[in-house]
Amino acid sequence: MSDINFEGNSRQRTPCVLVLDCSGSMDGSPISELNAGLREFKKSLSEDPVAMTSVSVCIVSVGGPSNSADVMMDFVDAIDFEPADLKADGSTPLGEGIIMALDKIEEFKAEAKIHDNRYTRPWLFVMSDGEPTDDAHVWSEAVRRSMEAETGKKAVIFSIAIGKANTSKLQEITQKSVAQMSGIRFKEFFVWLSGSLSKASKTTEGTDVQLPPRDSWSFVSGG
Amino acid sequence: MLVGGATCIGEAHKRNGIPLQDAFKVFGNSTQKYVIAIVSDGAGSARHAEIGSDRICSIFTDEVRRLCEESQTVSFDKFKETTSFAIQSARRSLVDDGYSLADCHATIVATLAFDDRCFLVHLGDGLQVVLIREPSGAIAACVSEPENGDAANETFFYTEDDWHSHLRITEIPRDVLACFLMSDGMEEFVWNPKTGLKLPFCRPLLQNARQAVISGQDLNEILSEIVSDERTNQFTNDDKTLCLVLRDSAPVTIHEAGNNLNQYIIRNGHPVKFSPSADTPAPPRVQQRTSPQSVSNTLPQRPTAKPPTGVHSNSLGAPDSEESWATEGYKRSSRLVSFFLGLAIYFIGLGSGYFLNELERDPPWVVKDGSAKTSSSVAEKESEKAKLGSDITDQSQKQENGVATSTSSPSKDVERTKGTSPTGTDKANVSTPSSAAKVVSDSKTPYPTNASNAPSKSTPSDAAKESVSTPPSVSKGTKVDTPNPTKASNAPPKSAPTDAAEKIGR
Repeated sequence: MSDINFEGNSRQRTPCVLVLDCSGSMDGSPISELNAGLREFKKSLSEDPVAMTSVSVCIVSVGGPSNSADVMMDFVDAIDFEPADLKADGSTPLGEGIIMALDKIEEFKAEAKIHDNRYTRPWLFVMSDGEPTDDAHVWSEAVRRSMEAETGKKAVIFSIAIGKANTSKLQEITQKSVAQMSGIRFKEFFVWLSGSLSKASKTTEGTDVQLPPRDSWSFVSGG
Repeated sequence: MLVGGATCIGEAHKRNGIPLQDAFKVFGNSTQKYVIAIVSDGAGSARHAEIGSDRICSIFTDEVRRLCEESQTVSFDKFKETTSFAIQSARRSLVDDGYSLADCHATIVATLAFDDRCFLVHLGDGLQVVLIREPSGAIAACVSEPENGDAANETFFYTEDDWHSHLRITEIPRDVLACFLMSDGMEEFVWNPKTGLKLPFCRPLLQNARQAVISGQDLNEILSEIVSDERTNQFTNDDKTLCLVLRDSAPVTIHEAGNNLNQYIIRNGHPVKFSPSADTPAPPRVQQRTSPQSVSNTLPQRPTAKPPTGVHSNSLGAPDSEESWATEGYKRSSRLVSFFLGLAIYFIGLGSGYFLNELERDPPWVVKDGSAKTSSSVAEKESEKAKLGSDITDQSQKQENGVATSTSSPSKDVERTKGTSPTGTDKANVSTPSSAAKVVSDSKTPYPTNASNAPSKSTPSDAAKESVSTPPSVSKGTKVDTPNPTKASNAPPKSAPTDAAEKIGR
């Protein structure tokens, strides 16, 4: 029997941007749990041969020593993803971080189109334990951009409240219910995320992806 | 004609406890000489996608069979009507069963193939490749590409309200040599939008299929080995389904066309010449990234325009004329180029077989048009068929976790599905090896009416006719009926191959 050559196109990417709250209130056990979660994320992705080469991760940190929103890690294939050590400090310019993340997504798409690479609908996760400290106009711009991205099906946006975060603010950026993390289950969350990213299930232009159950880390089923 | 299929649940589906959402069904009628194959891929985002994919496979096959049995010659217009009707029926039956259509999203890749033409149906992603022989004798591949939304995991489904605006139906009025139908899980192994057909995959596949037929091995086994091959998991974790339609028991391989296989992409029902371009490397990692502005002028453009979203209607007519399928001028120049290219490479020692074949030397087992064949090729075919016939009863049930297969050999009228049929119509009517030979030799005669049930006329080969009865046990969810009692049966009944209809993983 002749040997068949299985050569994939290796051109499809599932972009995922994480906007992570590193403000002062995350100091102590939350930030160390978050760092452990990121390491678990890396590990889970590495165990999945498809995810390892198809998932592209970008991290935007909010707050931290610089007290601003920063692209802490530009898009990188999961295979090259090395989680940095996040440090908690400063305020929560979440709106600024969200705008930055949406810009990164558009940049990713533009570049993919130039290279004629395919991508699945980008995922944006916003995780915070507090209220945004942006100027009102920055936050409202972030809300406008998020809603535009969501309704225009440019990205799938998930809002996750850590601990006792103000969910009403986080709810403004998505039509889906805010998921509330039960306790500080970053590890469980990131294991769940790597599995969901790997799946990137097929969908219509008009609907959102259906995700696996979030029971492992969330007590609100969400939308 | 020979048809088979296999499907395998994806790794991500296994991990996440999601059922197999791909479905397929194949049916071959050796009397009327047609083959039906359909693959449907249920959307991972839809709750009952496996119901939607299964439903369209059953209803489409039933409706197209009915059409073929009712008409002596199936016109393209009739086929389009029937396809639309089948989709509407499937939608209605889902709603009648209490499902929301949005929960049953599924795509369609289907074909009705005769010796001298075929009709393709495509809605959403997945891929279909038809190998045809052009009037000049050259072999070409016609490709029906997936239609995606802006993102790669967005596509279109027959369960959506505007299904008709994404339905693509095409007639290919050419001799059909082979046809590959697949869900998007297999797509990337067969086709690269930049470089075209992946010959290192397609060639061995056809070779192995031919080998299987000659040695009496089931085509299913070949296909199920492919879809469940561990190496696929490096690239996809989606469900994978592959159906293969082959002309006769002596399939023409792409070898005959060498490396200069003409390739066409089907656009709006017409072939558009595909010009392969060099593949760009995989997406650069962030360290090597350059800004979009700095690279935009240097990157090669995609060779063919993306099909405009929403322009494909079921009004896609038959090609206006034969010229729309192949322009003689193009073929001449292409053949001249391939001749000199072949000669050059041959002389520098890289050529050999492929390019000799390009000089129109058919291998002895190639049968053109089903009629013009040498006595030696007939003899060889007959001996192959005799082998196949003797091996029919030796085929054993294949039970692989997560893999379902289905096939119809050239010597059988078989309908198989991978899964539970909601309409419960899975049937297997297995006729003789020698009747398949008749398919070839009778290919110029008009189709008999009600041929699927008519006893074959008495021919010398009838002596070898066999009826194959219901297997003692059938794997879950699938029923294999006894053959039609009107079928001529001069030999004692034998056990049907039980390998064909399995469904595991639901």
